Amino acid sequence: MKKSTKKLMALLLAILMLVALTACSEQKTETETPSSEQRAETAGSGSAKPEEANAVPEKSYTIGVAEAQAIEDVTIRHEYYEKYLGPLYNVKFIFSERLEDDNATKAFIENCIDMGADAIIDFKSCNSTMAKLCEENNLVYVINSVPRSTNYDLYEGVSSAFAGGVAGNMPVTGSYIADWLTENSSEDGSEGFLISSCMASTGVVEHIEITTRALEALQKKYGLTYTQEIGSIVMSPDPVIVENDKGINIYVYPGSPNRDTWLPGIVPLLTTGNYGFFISCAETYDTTANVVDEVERAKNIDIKVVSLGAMSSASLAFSNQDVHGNVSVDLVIATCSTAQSGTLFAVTYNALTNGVESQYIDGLPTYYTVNKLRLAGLGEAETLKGWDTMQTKNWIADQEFIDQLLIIKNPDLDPAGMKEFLASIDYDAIVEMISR
Amino acid sequence: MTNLTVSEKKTPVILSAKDKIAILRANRYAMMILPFIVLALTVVIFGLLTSGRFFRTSVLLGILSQTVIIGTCATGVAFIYSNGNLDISIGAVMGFSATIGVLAYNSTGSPILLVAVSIATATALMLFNCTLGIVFRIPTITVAIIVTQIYSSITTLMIGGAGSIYIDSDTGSMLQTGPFRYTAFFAYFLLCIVIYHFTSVGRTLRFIGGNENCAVQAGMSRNRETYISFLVAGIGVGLAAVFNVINVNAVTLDTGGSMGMNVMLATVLGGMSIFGGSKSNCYAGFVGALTVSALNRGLLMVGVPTAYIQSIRGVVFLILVFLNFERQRLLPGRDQF
Repeated sequence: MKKSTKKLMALLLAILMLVALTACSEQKTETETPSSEQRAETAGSGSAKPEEANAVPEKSYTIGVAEAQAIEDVTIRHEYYEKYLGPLYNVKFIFSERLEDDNATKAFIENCIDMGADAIIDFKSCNSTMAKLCEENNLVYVINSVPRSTNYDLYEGVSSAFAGGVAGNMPVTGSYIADWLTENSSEDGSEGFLISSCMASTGVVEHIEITTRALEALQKKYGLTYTQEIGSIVMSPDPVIVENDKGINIYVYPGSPNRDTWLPGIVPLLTTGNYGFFISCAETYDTTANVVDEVERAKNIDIKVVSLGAMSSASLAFSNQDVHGNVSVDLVIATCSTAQSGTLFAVTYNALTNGVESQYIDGLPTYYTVNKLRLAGLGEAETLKGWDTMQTKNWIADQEFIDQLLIIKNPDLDPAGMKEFLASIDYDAIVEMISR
Repeated sequence: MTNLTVSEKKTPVILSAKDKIAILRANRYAMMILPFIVLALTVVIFGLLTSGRFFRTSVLLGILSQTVIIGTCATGVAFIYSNGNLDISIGAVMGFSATIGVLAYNSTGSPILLVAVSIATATALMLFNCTLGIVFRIPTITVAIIVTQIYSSITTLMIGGAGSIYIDSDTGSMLQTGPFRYTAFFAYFLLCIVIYHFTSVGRTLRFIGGNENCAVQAGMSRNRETYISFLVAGIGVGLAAVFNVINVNAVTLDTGGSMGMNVMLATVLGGMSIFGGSKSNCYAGFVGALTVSALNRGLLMVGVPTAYIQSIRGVVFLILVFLNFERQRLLPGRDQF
């Protein structure tokens, strides 16, 4: 084969690979607004069977979604927004690529402005700079974040574009773990506790909450007095041996949960066999399953693993058992992907249809929390299997769920009412919803 | 007599596609203007596809605005690439200098200090990288890999748990929307053009990048030129750090994270090899960054889904890289000067 032909072949194959990869990742994407028949059909193919398929709002909106990650949850959200909510509420979505920094978020919002977007849902930057950009261009701005040091000013009303924030319910997540720890740990605490605080030291609220509540639960159960303040332990960027007056073995290990830096640190700790409880602030049970299994076999112990996780992988994790019949994870706190994404959509849609002030409490923007799901065994995980997945496209937050959060469907609805509804959504409520 | 007439008749030469591309690629000026043609075509095509919406001043200014940060960095870093060096630590240097600049501003409230400290810090760090490479005879890419970790760690410590440090939005807006940003950018850009294309500095850098042995034997100092290239790049990285801060009114742990790769990409798309050589120039990165920005915005405005945008952009990049790629010559060519 001639050299030039080889080069040409290489170029063509590279282009073919790109096209093929795109085709695989995006099986079918339509850019044009489907007809009402298509809308009804699309909506009907999901879990919900909208009775009023022809009651699509006449007014059309365009919402830009600024993404921070490129993970399965994001793919699910795109499918749910674009193919399910879009046709139901006459909304077109513009999705960003994974945005690397605030500059990229700003560039994306500017591009959305050129495309005539009406609102931005921000999963990346979540700060007043983006809100002001939206304000200058008459866009509604909603964030996926609770109040934190980087965006307190938003909740103090610094921008008239800001309609509110949505995030997982941290206190409830923390209490799930604290309660479980209290119930399942021994009376003397001799088994030892390893807590991976993950990104708590960099200000990730969820990780701070979980680590704090776990330490508080141990303190309460065993009547401990720590020599260090819990706050400083939690926020430490370095590992901390948590010294206490009862000599209970507690170790807090921080770090981004990855295979390059976090795993090489956590494995030696687990292999000591000194820790019968392993509490992780992130989804790590897949990564640590092998080492936990090996240590359990070698030391003939049962390490109880508590971790955040995803509904899609929880079933498999609960199914994996070692030679002693111990499962690789004992408690999973899972995010209901569509409940959170759906709530973000509802807040945005309310602000678009009824004004940003419709989402204010006492004249200021507020935030909404969505409960995570406490899965304590295979049975619970199996019940939710097939929901909120790309394979089945059965969405937990269906039209009925979303309608309960929309002012156009409930004219008397206010943010307090929305919060009340969201607070009622837990594992049992969802099981009841999906069984209907 | 008749036979002679026949042999003298000129037969048309039919060139193969390969020959045509080879002739095109051998033509210095054709390859110089190719990135501009691609950029112009991108703008025209998207203008037509969007029924003229893409030609709106706000859209074109938006593209320019999004290009300033990478363009500034890439213009400076072209000096480093030209003589065959690579430095991927510029992202970390940018984050570090932006952090120092923001801390200086927050302590004093002086926008002048924000600018001066950022540029001074970036320049000092780049010169430090250069010195390590020259004194210990370590390739600059190796130095960059090591110092990237160090600079990033220090930046993380300085920024702390919140993950970001803010400046007040009034100052940010004043610097961002006032005359400062474009004046500083174009002043730096023109200065680089003059130094690179109209003085012996640029010629020497290109010569060294084309054939170092030959350049040294001709009496050129590699070390001196390397220092100059890192000095100019340092100023550019510092200025880009300031642009970054005033664009979002903050410095975060993400600041500069992917700048090293973005600058390389923009440079290659702008028609310059990152391995330097005789055909190097210092505007390639800016042109390349403009192309990327126009492509991103245009594809979004046309309504292409995100997944396809990545794919289409990849195809365009591949074609441009294919056209621009050139093996280094063993000896400097006639077009060296």
